Amino acid sequence: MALDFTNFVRVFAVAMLLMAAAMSVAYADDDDDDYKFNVNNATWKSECGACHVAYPPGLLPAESWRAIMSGLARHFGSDASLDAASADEITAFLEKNADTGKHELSDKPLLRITETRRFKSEHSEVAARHWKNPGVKSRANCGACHTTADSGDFSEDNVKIPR
Amino acid sequence: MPWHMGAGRGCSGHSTNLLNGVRDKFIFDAELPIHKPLNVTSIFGETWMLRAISVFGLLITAAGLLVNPAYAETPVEVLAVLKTEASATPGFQGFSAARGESFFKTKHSHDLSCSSCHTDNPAAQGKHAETDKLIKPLAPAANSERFTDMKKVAKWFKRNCNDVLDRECTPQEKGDVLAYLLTVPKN
Ligand code: HEC
Ligand code: HEC
Ligand code: HEC
Repeated sequence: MALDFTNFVRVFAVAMLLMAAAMSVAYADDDDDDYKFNVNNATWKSECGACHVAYPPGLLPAESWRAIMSGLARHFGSDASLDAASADEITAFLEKNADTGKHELSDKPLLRITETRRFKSEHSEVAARHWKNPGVKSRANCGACHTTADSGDFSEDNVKIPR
Repeated sequence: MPWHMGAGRGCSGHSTNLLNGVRDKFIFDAELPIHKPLNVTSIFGETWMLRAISVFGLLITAAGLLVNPAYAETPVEVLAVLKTEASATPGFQGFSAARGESFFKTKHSHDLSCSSCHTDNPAAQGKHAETDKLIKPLAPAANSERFTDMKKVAKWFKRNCNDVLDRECTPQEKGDVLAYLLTVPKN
Protein backbone atom coordinates (compact mmCIF):
# COMPACT_ATOMS: atom_id res chain seq x y z
CA MET A 1 0.00 0.00 0.00
CA ALA A 2 2.75 2.38 1.00
CA LEU A 3 4.51 1.77 -2.30
CA ASP A 4 1.35 2.40 -4.31
CA PHE A 5 0.97 5.72 -2.64
CA THR A 6 4.56 6.81 -3.42
CA ASN A 7 3.98 5.80 -7.02
CA PHE A 8 0.79 7.79 -7.15
CA VAL A 9 2.60 10.87 -5.86
CA ARG A 10 5.30 10.43 -8.53
CA VAL A 11 2.84 9.99 -11.37
CA PHE A 12 0.86 12.96 -10.14
CA ALA A 13 3.95 15.19 -9.95
CA VAL A 14 5.01 14.23 -13.47
CA ALA A 15 1.48 14.85 -14.76
CA MET A 16 1.44 18.31 -13.19
CA LEU A 17 4.80 19.17 -14.71
CA LEU A 18 3.63 18.06 -18.13
CA MET A 19 0.45 20.09 -17.82
CA ALA A 20 2.39 23.18 -16.81
CA ALA A 21 4.74 22.74 -19.78
CA ALA A 22 1.80 22.26 -22.16
CA MET A 23 0.10 25.36 -20.80
CA SER A 24 3.11 27.59 -21.18
CA VAL A 25 3.49 26.47 -24.79
CA ALA A 26 -0.18 27.28 -25.40
CA TYR A 27 0.25 30.73 -23.87
CA ALA A 28 3.34 31.52 -25.90
CA ASP A 29 1.48 30.48 -29.04
CA ASP A 30 -1.48 32.71 -28.27
CA ASP A 31 0.74 35.67 -27.58
CA ASP A 32 2.18 35.37 -31.06
CA ASP A 33 -1.30 35.30 -32.55
CA ASP A 34 -2.32 38.31 -30.48
CA TYR A 35 -5.54 36.80 -29.16
CA LYS A 36 -4.77 37.71 -25.57
CA PHE A 37 -5.03 41.46 -25.36
CA ASN A 38 -3.73 43.94 -22.83
CA VAL A 39 -6.64 44.87 -20.57
CA ASN A 40 -4.56 46.29 -17.77
CA ASN A 41 -6.09 49.67 -17.00
CA ALA A 42 -8.70 50.09 -14.26
CA THR A 43 -10.21 53.37 -15.54
CA TRP A 44 -10.67 51.96 -19.02
CA LYS A 45 -12.10 48.71 -17.68
CA SER A 46 -14.73 50.33 -15.49
CA GLU A 47 -15.68 53.16 -17.88
CA CYS A 48 -15.64 51.24 -21.16
CA GLY A 49 -16.95 48.03 -19.63
CA ALA A 50 -20.12 49.45 -18.06
CA CYS A 51 -22.51 49.01 -21.01
CA HIS A 52 -20.79 46.18 -22.92
CA VAL A 53 -17.70 44.04 -22.59
CA ALA A 54 -14.69 46.38 -22.55
CA TYR A 55 -13.37 45.86 -26.11
CA PRO A 56 -9.59 45.47 -25.82
CA PRO A 57 -7.42 48.16 -27.46
CA GLY A 58 -5.72 45.61 -29.72
CA LEU A 59 -8.93 45.17 -31.72
CA LEU A 60 -8.83 48.54 -33.51
CA PRO A 61 -6.13 50.85 -34.85
CA ALA A 62 -5.29 54.08 -33.00
CA GLU A 63 -7.15 56.33 -35.50
CA SER A 64 -10.34 54.42 -34.79
CA TRP A 65 -9.96 54.77 -31.03
CA ARG A 66 -9.29 58.50 -31.37
CA ALA A 67 -12.45 58.89 -33.45
CA ILE A 68 -14.49 56.93 -30.90
CA MET A 69 -13.08 58.89 -27.98
CA SER A 70 -13.91 62.21 -29.59
CA GLY A 71 -17.56 61.29 -30.11
CA LEU A 72 -18.60 59.77 -26.78
CA ALA A 73 -21.57 62.12 -26.26
CA ARG A 74 -23.23 60.39 -29.22
CA HIS A 75 -21.78 56.90 -29.07
CA PHE A 76 -23.69 54.36 -31.21
CA GLY A 77 -26.96 55.99 -30.13
CA SER A 78 -26.02 56.29 -26.43
CA ASP A 79 -24.63 59.10 -24.33
CA ALA A 80 -21.28 57.76 -23.02
CA SER A 81 -19.76 61.14 -22.20
CA LEU A 82 -16.81 61.22 -19.80
CA ASP A 83 -14.89 63.77 -17.75
CA ALA A 84 -11.74 65.03 -19.50
CA ALA A 85 -9.25 63.44 -17.10
CA SER A 86 -10.67 59.92 -17.51
CA ALA A 87 -11.03 60.39 -21.27
CA ASP A 88 -7.36 61.42 -21.58
CA GLU A 89 -6.15 58.46 -19.55
CA ILE A 90 -8.27 56.03 -21.57
CA THR A 91 -7.25 57.50 -24.94
CA ALA A 92 -3.58 57.12 -24.02
CA PHE A 93 -4.10 53.49 -22.98
CA LEU A 94 -6.03 52.69 -26.18
CA GLU A 95 -3.44 54.35 -28.45
CA LYS A 96 -0.53 52.63 -26.75
CA ASN A 97 -2.03 49.15 -27.15
CA ALA A 98 -3.90 49.63 -30.43
CA ASP A 99 -3.80 47.23 -33.37
CA THR A 100 -0.75 48.11 -35.46
CA GLY A 101 -1.37 45.50 -38.18
CA LYS A 102 -1.61 46.59 -41.78
CA HIS A 103 -4.88 44.76 -42.43
CA GLU A 104 -7.10 47.78 -41.95
CA LEU A 105 -6.68 50.07 -44.92
CA SER A 106 -9.44 52.59 -45.32
CA ASP A 107 -9.66 56.35 -45.74
CA LYS A 108 -12.12 56.84 -42.88
CA PRO A 109 -11.39 55.19 -39.53
CA LEU A 110 -13.79 52.35 -38.81
CA LEU A 111 -15.71 52.75 -35.55
CA ARG A 112 -16.91 49.19 -35.28
CA ILE A 113 -14.64 46.22 -34.59
CA THR A 114 -17.32 44.08 -36.21
CA GLU A 115 -16.80 45.92 -39.51
CA THR A 116 -13.06 45.37 -39.68
CA ARG A 117 -11.63 43.01 -42.24
CA ARG A 118 -9.89 41.15 -39.46
CA PHE A 119 -13.13 40.48 -37.57
CA LYS A 120 -14.81 39.27 -40.72
CA SER A 121 -12.01 36.89 -41.62
CA GLU A 122 -11.72 35.50 -38.09
CA HIS A 123 -15.46 34.76 -38.15
CA SER A 124 -15.86 33.62 -41.76
CA GLU A 125 -16.67 30.11 -40.58
CA VAL A 126 -19.32 31.15 -38.07
CA ALA A 127 -22.71 30.24 -39.56
CA ALA A 128 -25.35 32.95 -40.04
CA ARG A 129 -27.80 31.25 -37.70
CA HIS A 130 -25.40 31.78 -34.78
CA TRP A 131 -25.44 35.55 -35.26
CA LYS A 132 -29.23 35.46 -35.23
CA ASN A 133 -29.43 33.45 -32.01
CA PRO A 134 -31.33 35.52 -29.40
CA GLY A 135 -28.62 34.56 -26.89
CA VAL A 136 -26.09 36.43 -29.06
CA LYS A 137 -28.26 39.39 -30.06
CA SER A 138 -25.46 41.45 -31.64
CA ARG A 139 -22.12 40.64 -33.25
CA ALA A 140 -20.65 43.15 -30.85
CA ASN A 141 -21.74 40.93 -27.94
CA CYS A 142 -18.36 39.14 -27.94
CA GLY A 143 -18.94 37.70 -24.47
CA ALA A 144 -21.88 35.61 -25.70
CA CYS A 145 -19.40 33.26 -27.42
CA HIS A 146 -15.97 34.25 -26.08
CA THR A 147 -16.37 33.09 -22.49
CA THR A 148 -13.18 34.83 -21.34
CA ALA A 149 -13.70 38.13 -23.22
CA ASP A 150 -13.72 40.03 -19.92
CA SER A 151 -10.10 39.15 -19.29
CA GLY A 152 -9.05 40.03 -22.84
CA ASP A 153 -8.69 36.41 -23.93
CA PHE A 154 -10.31 35.77 -27.34
CA SER A 155 -8.46 32.57 -28.23
CA GLU A 156 -10.39 29.87 -30.04
CA ASP A 157 -10.05 27.45 -27.11
CA ASN A 158 -12.40 29.56 -25.02
CA VAL A 159 -15.19 29.95 -27.56
CA LYS A 160 -18.57 28.45 -26.76
CA ILE A 161 -21.42 29.36 -29.09
CA PRO A 162 -24.78 29.41 -27.24
CA ARG A 163 -27.28 26.80 -28.42
CA MET B 1 -5.91 50.87 -3.87
CA PRO B 2 -5.97 54.45 -5.16
CA TRP B 3 -9.72 54.33 -5.66
CA HIS B 4 -10.24 53.90 -1.94
CA MET B 5 -7.97 56.79 -1.14
CA GLY B 6 -9.84 59.01 -3.57
CA ALA B 7 -13.14 58.12 -2.02
CA GLY B 8 -11.83 58.84 1.46
CA ARG B 9 -10.72 62.29 0.49
CA GLY B 10 -14.12 63.15 -0.95
CA CYS B 11 -15.57 62.35 2.42
CA SER B 12 -13.69 64.85 4.53
CA GLY B 13 -14.32 67.55 1.91
CA HIS B 14 -18.08 67.33 2.14
CA SER B 15 -18.98 65.93 5.49
CA THR B 16 -19.84 69.04 7.50
CA ASN B 17 -21.93 70.51 4.77
CA LEU B 18 -23.73 67.30 4.03
CA LEU B 19 -24.37 66.58 7.63
CA ASN B 20 -26.09 69.94 7.97
CA GLY B 21 -28.12 69.15 4.91
CA VAL B 22 -29.15 65.85 6.36
CA ARG B 23 -29.86 67.23 9.80
CA ASP B 24 -31.89 70.22 8.73
CA LYS B 25 -33.68 69.10 5.67
CA PHE B 26 -33.80 65.50 4.77
CA ILE B 27 -35.38 63.74 7.66
CA PHE B 28 -38.52 65.83 7.78
CA ASP B 29 -39.19 66.86 4.21
CA ALA B 30 -38.56 63.87 2.05
CA GLU B 31 -41.90 62.27 1.61
CA LEU B 32 -40.86 58.66 2.08
CA PRO B 33 -43.53 56.23 3.11
CA ILE B 34 -41.27 54.78 5.84
CA HIS B 35 -41.02 57.91 7.94
CA LYS B 36 -44.33 59.70 7.75
CA PRO B 37 -43.81 63.35 8.75
CA LEU B 38 -44.75 63.79 12.38
CA ASN B 39 -44.94 67.07 14.17
CA VAL B 40 -42.43 66.41 16.94
CA THR B 41 -41.86 70.11 17.59
CA SER B 42 -45.28 70.57 19.07
CA ILE B 43 -44.75 67.65 21.43
CA PHE B 44 -41.19 68.15 22.70
CA GLY B 45 -40.09 71.68 21.80
CA GLU B 46 -37.53 72.81 19.25
CA THR B 47 -34.16 72.67 21.08
CA TRP B 48 -34.66 69.12 22.20
CA MET B 49 -35.59 68.10 18.73
CA LEU B 50 -32.60 69.73 17.06
CA ARG B 51 -30.24 68.09 19.50
CA ALA B 52 -31.79 64.71 19.10
CA ILE B 53 -31.63 64.99 15.35
CA SER B 54 -27.98 66.10 15.32
CA VAL B 55 -27.00 63.16 17.49
CA PHE B 56 -29.05 60.81 15.35
CA GLY B 57 -27.47 62.21 12.18
CA LEU B 58 -23.97 61.91 13.61
CA LEU B 59 -24.59 58.34 14.70
CA ILE B 60 -25.87 57.36 11.27
CA THR B 61 -22.91 59.00 9.54
CA ALA B 62 -20.43 57.40 11.95
CA ALA B 63 -22.06 54.00 11.52
CA GLY B 64 -21.91 54.42 7.75
CA LEU B 65 -18.22 55.29 7.88
CA LEU B 66 -17.43 52.35 10.15
CA VAL B 67 -19.30 49.85 8.03
CA ASN B 68 -17.59 50.94 4.85
CA PRO B 69 -14.87 53.55 5.04
CA ALA B 70 -14.40 53.46 1.24
CA TYR B 71 -17.68 55.14 0.35
CA ALA B 72 -17.51 58.88 -0.19
CA GLU B 73 -21.21 59.48 0.36
CA THR B 74 -24.31 57.69 1.55
CA PRO B 75 -27.53 57.59 -0.50
CA VAL B 76 -29.16 59.83 2.12
CA GLU B 77 -26.39 62.40 1.66
CA VAL B 78 -26.80 62.21 -2.12
CA LEU B 79 -30.51 62.85 -1.64
CA ALA B 80 -29.67 65.87 0.53
CA VAL B 81 -27.45 67.30 -2.23
CA LEU B 82 -30.25 66.83 -4.79
CA LYS B 83 -32.60 68.52 -2.37
CA THR B 84 -30.37 71.56 -2.08
CA GLU B 85 -30.33 71.79 -5.89
CA ALA B 86 -34.08 71.29 -6.20
CA SER B 87 -34.83 73.91 -3.51
CA ALA B 88 -33.56 76.57 -5.91
CA THR B 89 -36.63 75.99 -8.11
CA PRO B 90 -39.60 78.13 -7.08
CA GLY B 91 -42.51 76.09 -5.78
CA PHE B 92 -40.40 73.10 -4.73
CA GLN B 93 -42.40 71.00 -2.29
CA GLY B 94 -40.15 68.05 -1.50
CA PHE B 95 -39.59 64.74 -3.25
CA SER B 96 -42.18 62.07 -3.85
CA ALA B 97 -41.38 58.37 -4.04
CA ALA B 98 -44.68 57.72 -5.83
CA ARG B 99 -43.88 60.27 -8.54
CA GLY B 100 -40.37 58.79 -8.79
CA GLU B 101 -41.75 55.32 -9.34
CA SER B 102 -44.06 56.37 -12.13
CA PHE B 103 -41.27 58.41 -13.78
CA PHE B 104 -38.98 55.37 -13.58
CA LYS B 105 -41.47 52.98 -15.17
CA THR B 106 -42.92 55.28 -17.86
CA LYS B 107 -41.65 55.08 -21.42
CA HIS B 108 -40.41 58.48 -22.59
CA SER B 109 -38.59 58.88 -25.96
CA HIS B 110 -37.34 56.03 -28.16
CA ASP B 111 -39.73 53.62 -26.43
CA LEU B 112 -37.31 53.57 -23.47
CA SER B 113 -37.89 53.85 -19.75
CA CYS B 114 -35.48 53.54 -16.86
CA SER B 115 -36.94 50.06 -16.36
CA SER B 116 -35.87 49.06 -19.88
CA CYS B 117 -32.41 48.40 -18.44
CA HIS B 118 -32.95 48.44 -14.67
CA THR B 119 -36.22 46.36 -14.84
CA ASP B 120 -39.50 47.13 -13.09
CA ASN B 121 -37.92 45.82 -9.91
CA PRO B 122 -34.78 47.89 -9.23
CA ALA B 123 -33.76 45.42 -6.50
CA ALA B 124 -33.25 42.79 -9.19
CA GLN B 125 -30.38 42.46 -11.64
CA GLY B 126 -30.92 44.50 -14.79
CA LYS B 127 -29.85 44.00 -18.40
CA HIS B 128 -28.74 46.62 -20.94
CA ALA B 129 -31.57 46.89 -23.48
CA GLU B 130 -29.19 47.07 -26.44
CA THR B 131 -26.13 45.04 -25.51
CA ASP B 132 -27.57 42.51 -23.03
CA LYS B 133 -24.79 43.30 -20.57
CA LEU B 134 -25.92 42.48 -17.03
CA ILE B 135 -26.38 45.45 -14.68
CA LYS B 136 -26.21 45.13 -10.91
CA PRO B 137 -29.35 46.13 -8.94
CA LEU B 138 -29.95 49.87 -8.66
CA ALA B 139 -31.79 49.96 -5.32
CA PRO B 140 -29.42 50.73 -2.42
CA ALA B 141 -31.12 48.04 -0.28
CA ALA B 142 -30.01 45.42 -2.80
CA ASN B 143 -26.62 46.91 -3.76
CA SER B 144 -24.74 48.91 -1.16
CA GLU B 145 -22.44 50.50 -3.76
CA ARG B 146 -25.28 52.50 -5.31
CA PHE B 147 -25.53 56.24 -4.67
CA THR B 148 -22.30 56.38 -2.69
CA ASP B 149 -20.31 58.51 -5.13
CA MET B 150 -21.83 61.84 -6.18
CA LYS B 151 -19.68 62.04 -9.33
CA LYS B 152 -20.76 58.61 -10.50
CA VAL B 153 -24.41 59.39 -9.77
CA ALA B 154 -24.22 62.66 -11.73
CA LYS B 155 -22.49 60.97 -14.67
CA TRP B 156 -25.12 58.25 -15.04
CA PHE B 157 -28.13 60.51 -14.50
CA LYS B 158 -26.80 62.71 -17.30
CA ARG B 159 -26.17 59.81 -19.70
CA ASN B 160 -29.29 57.79 -18.99
CA CYS B 161 -31.65 60.77 -18.95
CA ASN B 162 -30.23 61.88 -22.29
CA ASP B 163 -30.87 58.42 -23.70
CA VAL B 164 -34.37 58.07 -22.29
CA LEU B 165 -35.70 61.67 -22.45
CA ASP B 166 -33.36 63.40 -24.94
CA ARG B 167 -32.55 65.89 -22.19
CA GLU B 168 -31.06 65.94 -18.71
CA CYS B 169 -33.33 65.22 -15.75
CA THR B 170 -34.30 68.06 -13.41
CA PRO B 171 -33.18 67.94 -9.75
CA GLN B 172 -36.84 67.29 -8.90
CA GLU B 173 -36.94 64.21 -11.17
CA LYS B 174 -33.63 62.88 -9.87
CA GLY B 175 -34.70 63.35 -6.25
CA ASP B 176 -38.07 61.69 -6.88
CA VAL B 177 -36.29 58.70 -8.45
CA LEU B 178 -33.86 58.35 -5.56
CA ALA B 179 -36.67 58.76 -3.01
CA TYR B 180 -38.43 55.90 -4.81
CA LEU B 181 -35.32 53.71 -4.98
CA LEU B 182 -34.79 54.18 -1.24
CA THR B 183 -38.22 52.66 -0.58
CA VAL B 184 -37.54 49.54 -2.68
CA PRO B 185 -36.87 46.66 -0.27
CA LYS B 186 -34.23 44.01 -0.81
CA ASN B 187 -35.70 41.06 -2.72
C1 HEC C 1 -23.49 54.38 -21.83
C2 HEC C 1 -23.19 53.09 -22.41
C3 HEC C 1 -21.83 52.91 -23.08
C4 HEC C 1 -20.59 53.24 -22.57
C5 HEC C 1 -20.25 53.86 -21.22
C6 HEC C 1 -19.62 52.85 -23.60
N1 HEC C 1 -20.26 52.30 -24.67
FE1 HEC C 1 -19.37 51.55 -26.35
N2 HEC C 1 -21.22 51.07 -27.11
C7 HEC C 1 -22.43 51.29 -26.48
C8 HEC C 1 -23.50 50.78 -27.30
C9 HEC C 1 -25.00 50.82 -26.97
C10 HEC C 1 -22.89 50.22 -28.47
C11 HEC C 1 -23.57 49.53 -29.66
C12 HEC C 1 -23.61 48.05 -29.35
C13 HEC C 1 -24.18 47.18 -30.46
O1 HEC C 1 -24.27 47.61 -31.60
O2 HEC C 1 -24.49 46.02 -30.15
C14 HEC C 1 -21.44 50.42 -28.31
C15 HEC C 1 -20.49 50.01 -29.23
C16 HEC C 1 -19.12 50.20 -29.09
C17 HEC C 1 -18.13 49.79 -30.08
C18 HEC C 1 -18.41 49.08 -31.40
C19 HEC C 1 -18.57 47.58 -31.24
C20 HEC C 1 -18.72 46.92 -32.59
O3 HEC C 1 -17.70 46.45 -33.12
O4 HEC C 1 -19.83 46.89 -33.13
C21 HEC C 1 -16.91 50.16 -29.61
C22 HEC C 1 -15.56 49.95 -30.29
C23 HEC C 1 -17.13 50.81 -28.31
N3 HEC C 1 -18.48 50.81 -28.02
C24 HEC C 1 -16.12 51.34 -27.53
C25 HEC C 1 -16.33 51.96 -26.30
C26 HEC C 1 -15.29 52.60 -25.52
C27 HEC C 1 -13.82 52.70 -25.92
C28 HEC C 1 -15.88 53.06 -24.37
C29 HEC C 1 -15.21 53.82 -23.20
C30 HEC C 1 -14.67 55.11 -23.52
C31 HEC C 1 -17.31 52.75 -24.45
N4 HEC C 1 -17.54 52.08 -25.64
C32 HEC C 1 -18.25 53.05 -23.48
C33 HEC C 1 -22.61 51.87 -25.23
C34 HEC C 1 -21.61 52.33 -24.39
C1 HEC D 1 -21.63 33.98 -32.39
C2 HEC D 1 -20.49 33.79 -31.54
C3 HEC D 1 -19.34 34.82 -31.59
C4 HEC D 1 -19.40 36.17 -31.31
C5 HEC D 1 -20.62 36.99 -30.88
C6 HEC D 1 -18.05 36.68 -31.48
N1 HEC D 1 -17.22 35.66 -31.85
FE1 HEC D 1 -15.19 35.78 -32.14
N2 HEC D 1 -15.15 33.82 -32.68
C7 HEC D 1 -16.20 32.95 -32.67
C8 HEC D 1 -15.77 31.64 -33.13
C9 HEC D 1 -16.65 30.40 -33.27
C10 HEC D 1 -14.39 31.75 -33.43
C11 HEC D 1 -13.44 30.67 -33.96
C12 HEC D 1 -13.53 30.73 -35.46
C13 HEC D 1 -12.72 29.65 -36.13
O1 HEC D 1 -11.50 29.73 -36.01
O2 HEC D 1 -13.32 28.77 -36.72
C14 HEC D 1 -14.02 33.13 -33.14
C15 HEC D 1 -12.73 33.65 -33.28
C16 HEC D 1 -12.34 34.91 -32.86
C17 HEC D 1 -10.98 35.37 -32.87
C18 HEC D 1 -9.76 34.57 -33.31
C19 HEC D 1 -9.38 33.62 -32.18
C20 HEC D 1 -8.44 32.51 -32.58
O3 HEC D 1 -7.87 31.88 -31.64
O4 HEC D 1 -8.31 32.23 -33.77
C21 HEC D 1 -10.99 36.66 -32.37
C22 HEC D 1 -9.79 37.57 -32.12
C23 HEC D 1 -12.37 37.00 -32.09
N3 HEC D 1 -13.17 35.91 -32.41
C24 HEC D 1 -12.82 38.22 -31.60
C25 HEC D 1 -14.14 38.55 -31.39
C26 HEC D 1 -14.61 39.87 -30.93
C27 HEC D 1 -13.69 41.03 -30.63
C28 HEC D 1 -15.96 39.80 -30.85
C29 HEC D 1 -16.92 40.92 -30.47
C30 HEC D 1 -16.72 42.22 -31.10
C31 HEC D 1 -16.36 38.44 -31.24
N4 HEC D 1 -15.24 37.73 -31.57
C32 HEC D 1 -17.69 37.99 -31.27
C33 HEC D 1 -17.50 33.24 -32.27
C34 HEC D 1 -17.97 34.51 -31.93
C1 HEC E 1 -29.83 51.70 -21.98
C2 HEC E 1 -29.75 51.16 -20.62
C3 HEC E 1 -30.09 52.06 -19.45
C4 HEC E 1 -31.23 52.83 -19.30
C5 HEC E 1 -32.40 52.98 -20.25
C6 HEC E 1 -31.09 53.48 -18.01
N1 HEC E 1 -29.93 53.10 -17.40
FE1 HEC E 1 -29.24 53.74 -15.59
N2 HEC E 1 -27.54 52.66 -15.85
C7 HEC E 1 -27.24 51.87 -16.94
C8 HEC E 1 -25.90 51.34 -16.81
C9 HEC E 1 -25.18 50.43 -17.83
C10 HEC E 1 -25.39 51.84 -15.59
C11 HEC E 1 -24.00 51.64 -14.98
C12 HEC E 1 -23.67 50.22 -14.76
C13 HEC E 1 -23.35 49.91 -13.34
O1 HEC E 1 -22.91 50.80 -12.57
O2 HEC E 1 -23.58 48.75 -12.97
C14 HEC E 1 -26.44 52.65 -15.01
C15 HEC E 1 -26.32 53.33 -13.80
C16 HEC E 1 -27.26 54.21 -13.30
C17 HEC E 1 -27.06 55.01 -12.11
C18 HEC E 1 -25.81 55.02 -11.24
C19 HEC E 1 -26.10 54.71 -9.80
C20 HEC E 1 -24.88 54.47 -8.97
O3 HEC E 1 -24.65 55.18 -7.99
O4 HEC E 1 -24.15 53.50 -9.27
C21 HEC E 1 -28.19 55.77 -11.97
C22 HEC E 1 -28.49 56.82 -10.90
C23 HEC E 1 -29.10 55.41 -13.05
N3 HEC E 1 -28.51 54.46 -13.84
C24 HEC E 1 -30.37 55.96 -13.22
C25 HEC E 1 -31.17 55.75 -14.34
C26 HEC E 1 -32.40 56.47 -14.58
C27 HEC E 1 -33.03 57.52 -13.67
C28 HEC E 1 -32.87 56.02 -15.79
C29 HEC E 1 -34.12 56.51 -16.53
C30 HEC E 1 -34.14 57.93 -16.86
C31 HEC E 1 -31.93 55.03 -16.29
N4 HEC E 1 -30.91 54.89 -15.39
C32 HEC E 1 -32.05 54.36 -17.49
C33 HEC E 1 -28.07 51.63 -18.01
C34 HEC E 1 -29.29 52.23 -18.25
